[in-house]
Amino acid sequence: MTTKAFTGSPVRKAARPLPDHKQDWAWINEHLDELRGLWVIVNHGHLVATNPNIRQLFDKLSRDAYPDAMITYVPTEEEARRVVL
Amino acid sequence: MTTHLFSFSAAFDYGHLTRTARGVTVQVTLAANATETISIEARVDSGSSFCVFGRQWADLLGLDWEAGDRLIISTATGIFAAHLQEVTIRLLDYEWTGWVAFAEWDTMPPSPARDVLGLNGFFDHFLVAIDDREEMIYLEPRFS
Repeated sequence: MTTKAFTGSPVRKAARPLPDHKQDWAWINEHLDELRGLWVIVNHGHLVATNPNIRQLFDKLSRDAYPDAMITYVPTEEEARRVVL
Repeated sequence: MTTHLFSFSAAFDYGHLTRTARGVTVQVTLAANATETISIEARVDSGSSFCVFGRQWADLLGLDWEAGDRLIISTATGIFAAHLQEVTIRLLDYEWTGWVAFAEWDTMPPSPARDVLGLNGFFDHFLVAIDDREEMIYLEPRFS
């Protein structure tokens, strides 16, 4: 294993750009307090699912049902106060 | 004084991703075996030698986690094991394949168990500039 190596392929234009998720983040910010401590999946500004456990969250979902969705973890207030290394 | 001029074809405002913790974060997807994750938050970290993601993403993509080359990754808080797997990463309107280290843990921010874009697999694919005061990251892809 080298410590410095160009690995993989060069960058190319994607066939489909990633959605910008502004609408999803706006929804999350409106519901922040009720989402604390949860993994959250949002699709086109609508809640898809929440769960404190990320594996259980995906167990419930059809993998291909929400290709444009995003996932984030909303920290508890205590977690949010921590300074992250 | 020598002046260095660079140009960047993409800019991303990461401010909305860092409302709860300081950091430079972007959204990416990972793909392998004709399966792609939904958008994941990944921290941009030039202090990390590799791109590191939680094991749950490898399992979701149907990758045989233990089949990849094993790494022991040392951090400020200790060491952990990971296995390298080749995946396609999509960011904005770019994609590329790279070797990603999938950790033994599942992602659990804001703990150190979080998804990271590091040197091998990200910084070796883009010229990167960060304007943290404006919460902007600028990217110029390496197309060759």
